[in-house]
Amino acid sequence: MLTFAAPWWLAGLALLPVLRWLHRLGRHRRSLIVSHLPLWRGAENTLPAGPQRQPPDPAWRRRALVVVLFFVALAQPRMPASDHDLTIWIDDSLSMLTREAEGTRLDSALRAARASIEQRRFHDVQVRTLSHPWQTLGALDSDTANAIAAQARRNGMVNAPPRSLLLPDREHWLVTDGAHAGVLAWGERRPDRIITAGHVDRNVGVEMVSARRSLQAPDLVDVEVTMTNGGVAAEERALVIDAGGTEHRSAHRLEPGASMRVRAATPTDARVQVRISPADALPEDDSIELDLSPLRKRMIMVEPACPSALRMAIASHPALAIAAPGATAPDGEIDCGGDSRQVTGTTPVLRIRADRMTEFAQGVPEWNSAIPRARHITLESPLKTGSRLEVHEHDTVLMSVGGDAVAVRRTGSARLIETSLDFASGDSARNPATPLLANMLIEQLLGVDLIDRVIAIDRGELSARVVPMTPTNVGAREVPVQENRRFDEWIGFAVILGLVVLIRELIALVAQWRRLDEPRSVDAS
Amino acid sequence: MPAVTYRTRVVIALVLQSTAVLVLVVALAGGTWLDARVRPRVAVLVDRSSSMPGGETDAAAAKVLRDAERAGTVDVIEFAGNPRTAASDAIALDRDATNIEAAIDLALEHHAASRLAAIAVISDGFETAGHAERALQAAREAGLDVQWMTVPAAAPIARIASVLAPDRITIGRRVAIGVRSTGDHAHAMRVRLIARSTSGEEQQAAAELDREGRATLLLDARKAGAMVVDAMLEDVATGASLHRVRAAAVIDVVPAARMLYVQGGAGVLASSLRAGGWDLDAIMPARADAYADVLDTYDVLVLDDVAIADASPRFWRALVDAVQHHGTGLAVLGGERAFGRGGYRESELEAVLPVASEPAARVQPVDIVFAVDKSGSMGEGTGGVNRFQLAQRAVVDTARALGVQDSFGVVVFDVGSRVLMPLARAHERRDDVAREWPVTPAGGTRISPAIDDALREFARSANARRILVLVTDGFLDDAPIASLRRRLESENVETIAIAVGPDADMRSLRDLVGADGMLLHVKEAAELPVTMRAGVERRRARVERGVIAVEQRADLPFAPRRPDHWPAISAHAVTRAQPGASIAIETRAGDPVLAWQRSGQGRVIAVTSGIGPWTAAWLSMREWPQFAGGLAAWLARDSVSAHAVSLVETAEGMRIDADVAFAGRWQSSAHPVVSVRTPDAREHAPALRESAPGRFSAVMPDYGTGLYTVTFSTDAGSTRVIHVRSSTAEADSAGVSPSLQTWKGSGLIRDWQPGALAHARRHDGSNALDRTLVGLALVLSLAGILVERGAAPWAFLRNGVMRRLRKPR
Repeated sequence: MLTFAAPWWLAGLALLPVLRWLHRLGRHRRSLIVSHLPLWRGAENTLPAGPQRQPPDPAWRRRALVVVLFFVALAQPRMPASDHDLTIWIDDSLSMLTREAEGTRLDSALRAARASIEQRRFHDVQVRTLSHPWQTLGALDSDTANAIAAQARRNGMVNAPPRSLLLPDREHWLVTDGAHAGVLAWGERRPDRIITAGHVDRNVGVEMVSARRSLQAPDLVDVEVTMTNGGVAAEERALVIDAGGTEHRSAHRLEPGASMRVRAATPTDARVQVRISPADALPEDDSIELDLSPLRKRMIMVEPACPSALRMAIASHPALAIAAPGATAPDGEIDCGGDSRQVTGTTPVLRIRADRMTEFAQGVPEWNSAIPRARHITLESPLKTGSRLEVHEHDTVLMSVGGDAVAVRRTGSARLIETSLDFASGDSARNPATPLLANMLIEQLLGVDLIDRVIAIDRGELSARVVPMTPTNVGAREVPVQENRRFDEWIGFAVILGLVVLIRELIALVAQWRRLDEPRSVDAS
Repeated sequence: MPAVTYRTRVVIALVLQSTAVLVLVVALAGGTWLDARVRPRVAVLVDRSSSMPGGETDAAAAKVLRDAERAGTVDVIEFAGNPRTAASDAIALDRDATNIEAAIDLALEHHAASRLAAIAVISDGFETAGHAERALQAAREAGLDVQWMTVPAAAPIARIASVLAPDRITIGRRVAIGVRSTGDHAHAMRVRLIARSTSGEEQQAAAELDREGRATLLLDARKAGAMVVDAMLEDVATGASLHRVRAAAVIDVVPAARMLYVQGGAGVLASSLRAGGWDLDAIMPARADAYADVLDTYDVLVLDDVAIADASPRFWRALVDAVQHHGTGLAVLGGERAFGRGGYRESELEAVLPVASEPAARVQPVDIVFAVDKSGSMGEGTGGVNRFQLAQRAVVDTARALGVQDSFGVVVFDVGSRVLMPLARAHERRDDVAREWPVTPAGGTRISPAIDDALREFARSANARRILVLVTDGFLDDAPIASLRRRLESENVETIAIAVGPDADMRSLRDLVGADGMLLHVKEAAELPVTMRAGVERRRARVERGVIAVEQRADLPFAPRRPDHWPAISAHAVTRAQPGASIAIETRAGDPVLAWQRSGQGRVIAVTSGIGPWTAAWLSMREWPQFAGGLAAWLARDSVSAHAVSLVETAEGMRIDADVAFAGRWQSSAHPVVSVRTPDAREHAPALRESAPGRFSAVMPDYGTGLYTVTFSTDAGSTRVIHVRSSTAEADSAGVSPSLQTWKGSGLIRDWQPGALAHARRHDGSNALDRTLVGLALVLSLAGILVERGAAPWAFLRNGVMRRLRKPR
C-alpha cells in the first residue's frame, strides 16, 4: 500500500484552487470557436463582461499537474518492498577448508548460498566474513570465494559477528560448518538462516608450535608442538619436527578431542617445520613452519677496557654473545672508556662510567616503572658505584639507589644508557646480582626481552575441530525471517514525471513567447 | 515606471521554469544542497580526557565541526574513559582515562545503522584503556576514512618525570621514595605523596623539590599488603596542583619474618638477632612438640644444638614439610646434641640438611653389648606390646644401623643374667637378632650379673671402642654402683643407660654412667627404639676438638659474602657434604663448617661448629652483626620460587605469563593454578593454557583501575605478584602520542582534510533525492506561474478590496 514518509507536504495541494483562480484572470489562451475562417481575424478574445465567469486558461491543468507531482514527491511516496536486504556471514575458519566429496566445505557452502539467493529476490546482498566483519566483499563469485579461502588459511578460529552489524531490517544468513560453537554465539539476534556444509568428522591438526631458549643448553631451543584430534575417532599420526636437517620423529595415538604436547630441542639458528602424517581431510592444519631467528644470540661489542666481571656476564648470558673485534653490525656496544664522547651511530651503547673511587650505594634499589617488576633485582649485598650520574631534562632514570641515579637512559637520537655501577670492583665478579644487572641494562638498551622470549604460532584451542554441526543444532533455520521494514521509494518517479510536465510547460512558454513576437499579438492585459 | 509587458513576463517565467528544470536535473543526477538525508555524514570524536587542554580542544572541535557541517551533517561523540553522544549527554565522562577504541566502536555502530562518510577524531592520541589500533583496523575494513585533528596534550610548567620506589619493604620500616620532576624549576614546587594501604588507611608526605627538581620523601610501612602511592606536584606559592600521577608506585609491605628459635645451646645467635631488632619466639627443645602444628607459619626455624630425641617424629615431619613445601628457612647449629650426636644420621631432618652425619662411624668401629632387663615389670605393656618387645625392636633398629666393622651381642637379665647372643659382627647377627627372642619377662632386677656377662663379652672384643647399652625399668638399690662403674671405666667401656618408664632408678643409673656416659629416659616405652638408636649414634658421633683453623671456600649466600678472616673454632661435628650442597666454610681437613642448600622451596644452612662456645672468636669479628643479620634475612627471604610471573597489559586484558622450571628444565606437568584478586575484592580464576615450554598464560579481563593481586601456584609452591592498573598514562601524557605517527604510516588515519569531505557523498544504497532541491524547483516553478499570470490577479484583488471599501452604507 502506498504511504508517505512526509505526508504533511500534501497540504501544499491546497494551492490548487488558487492556481485555478490565477488562471481565470489575466491573459487567456482558451480556444475561440468561429464559424468561418475569415471571421477569426475580427474575433477578439475579450474578458467577460459583467458577472459571467471566465473559464480558466487551459494551461492551468498542466501547471497544476507540475505542482501536484512536486508536492507528492516532497511527501516521499513509498511502497513496502517485496524484496529484502541480505547479509551473508561466512565462517572463514580453517575447518571450512576441510575436503569433502564435492570440494571444500567453503566451496559447497557458497554454492548452496548462491543457489538460495537465486531462489529469492534480494534488493541488496552484502557478503561479509566472520574474521573481518566490517569489510564487505563483492559479489558471491569465484574471486570472492578464493579471497575467503586465502583468509581461512590464516584463521584458526573466528567469532560471531559484532552486534552492531546485525541490523534488524536485513536478513542475516550464516554460512558455516558449525565446527566451532563460537560462530553461533549471536545472542538474541540469531541468524535467519544457517547454510551448513560438511560430513567429514576426522582430523588431526597442529594447534600450536612454540619455542623458547632451552634452560639446559643456551644454544638449543625447546620447541613444543601441540597436536589435537579434532575428530570423533581415535587417530594415529606420526609427528615430524624438522629443524636444520635434524628430524625428531615420533608416533602418537590420540583419542577424540584429546591434545598432546611433544617437545624437542633444536638449534637456535634453524627454521622449524612441524608436520604430521598421514595427511587428512584438512591438510592446511597438518604443518606449521616457525622461524627461530628472533631467539638468536645478540652480538654485543665489549670494549677491551671493560671489567672482566661484565665481560663474563655477557659471555655467559644465554641470549648474548661477545662480538668479535671489528664486527660490522653488532646489536649493541658496551663502552667502558668512561669518556663522554658522542654516540652518533645507530648501534645502541651502554656506557659504564667509572671516573672516581668506588663507593657503596646505600639503600634499597628504586625502579622506574618502565622496568617490569620481573626484572627488579633483589640485592643481597650493597652495590658499588664508580661515578655520580647527572640527570638532565628528559633523561629517564631506570634505577637509583638511595636517591642517586645509577642507570640513566639519555635522550637523543642514538640509544644510550649510562650506568655508574662499578663492575670493576672485586665484589662484582662474585656478586650474583652482576649478571642480572647486566641483563637488565642490555634488555633496556636493546628494547627486547632477552631471557623470557617466546615465539609461537597459535591457531587457537580446538582449531583442529572439524566435526560439523548436526541437524538438531540447526535450530536457527526455524527462526522466522524478521518483518521486512524496507520500502521502495517513489519520489524519483514523481520527480521525473514532474520534470517531463515541466519541460512541456517550458515548450508551451517558448511557443507563447514566439507567438508574442508576431506583429498581431495583442496583450490582453 | 513603465508597465512590464506580457512578453517580458513570459520571458521571465521561461527563465524561472528553465531554472526549475535545471535544479531537478541536478537533483536527479545526485546533486545535494541542504537535505541532511543525502549529505555526507561525519562522526566527530572529541577527546575530553583530562590530558586534553580545554581551550585548544574546543577550538579544534569548533573548526572541525564548522568544516564538517559545511560538507555534510555531523554526529558528535565526546569521549574520555567512556564515550557519549548528544543523546546520552547525561552520562558522565571518566576524564581520568582515555578509551579511543570505545569511541570508534560507537562511531562504527552509527555507521552500521546509517552510513558515515568519515570519522574525525580530535585527540592527542594517548590511550589508557582499550586498543585504538584494533578499532582503526575495523574502521578501515568498513571503508571509513579516519581523519585526525591532533591536539597536543597539555604540558604543565613542570611535571613528575619519575617516581622511584622499592618493590618491597618490611612492615614497620620507613620507605624512601625518590621523585624527579622536569620542566620549569624556577618556581618553588612541592611534591606530595598520598599512600593508601589495602585497608584504606592513608598517609601523606610532602617535600619541596631541590634546584635539580628532586625530592626524597619518607613513608611508614604500617600495614602489610600493597601500598599504592599517588604523587602530586604543587606550586608552593599558590598551592595549585600542577601534575598528578595516580598509582605512581606500588610497594609490597611484607610482615616481619617470624622466627622460631629452638634453643638447646647457649643461644648466642638468638641474642645477636634480638639485639639486631629481629622478632623471634625462643623455646626450649622440650616444648618443640607444641609448635609442630604451626611450624609452617614461621619464616625461619633455628635449631640451636637440638637432638632428634628432643622432639617427637611428628615435629620433625612438620619441620621437613614446612621447609620443603612452605619455604620456611632452616638453620641448624651444631653442639654437643646436634648432628651426629643429636641422632641426625638417617633421620628425617638429615634429608633436608646440606651435610650428613655419617663418616665418624666409619672411622672407629665399635663393639656394643645390649643388656636388656627382662624382669617382670618389663612384661607390662598395652595393645599387646610390652616393654621387653619394644626393647628388642630398639636393639634390632640400632643394630641395623651398625657398620660392617661393628660387632654387637645381647645379654638379658633379671636377678640373673644370660648371654642371648655372643658378641659377633653386626652383619652376621642382624637376622638372628630380628627373630623373636626366646625370653619371657619375669622376676626382679639385678644389674651386676648383666655387667659381668657384658664385660666377659667385651674381653673377646676386637675393636678398641666399647659401648654398653643398658635398658631397664627397675630399681637398682642393691647394686654396687660405684664398683660397677669403676670396672666399666677400667675396661674402657662407655655406658649408655636407658631408663624406661616412671619407676626407673634414675639416680643409680646416673651414678653408673658417670660423667662420660649417657643417661636417657623414655617416659613411654614406644619411644625406646628411636631413643636407643639416637643415643648410640650420638655416642659414636665424632666431634673434632682443638684449635681448628677454618677457611672460606666459597662466598656466603648473603652479606658479608667473604669476610676478611674467619677466626679458628674450638670444635665441630664431623660431617660430610650432601650432593648438591654448597660449602662456604670448611676446616683445613676439608670438613664442612658452614654449608647451605635449597631443599624444596626452603633454604637450609648448617653450621657444624654451632654459633656459641665453639666459635667464640667469631663474635668479635667486625662482620659479625652483618653475618648474623644476613643469615637470618637470607633464610627469611621468599621461598625459592620455581616460577617467574610477569603481567603484561594487552588489548584483550591483562595477560599473566608464568614460567615454571624445575631441575633446570621447563616444566609442563606442575598442576598450575592462578587466582586473581581484582579491585572489586573478588577472586577470579582465569583459565591457564600452556603457551610455550614451561610457560602458562591466562588473560584477565579488565575489571577497572586499581590493585590486582595475582597468585600463581604449582606443586612447587606459590608466587604472589601485585599490579596496579592505573590511569598513569593519562596523567603522564604530554604532547602527542607516538602511536599517531605509526597509525599514519600504516594508513589507518590521516590528517584532518575538510576538502576531502566536500567530495564525499553518502552511499547508503538508496536512490534518495535531495528534497530541498525538489522544493526549490517547486518554488521556482510557482514563481514562474505567478510571473506569467502577471498583474491581473493583483489588480483583481485591489479592485475587489476598493470596491468593498467604497460601497455606500
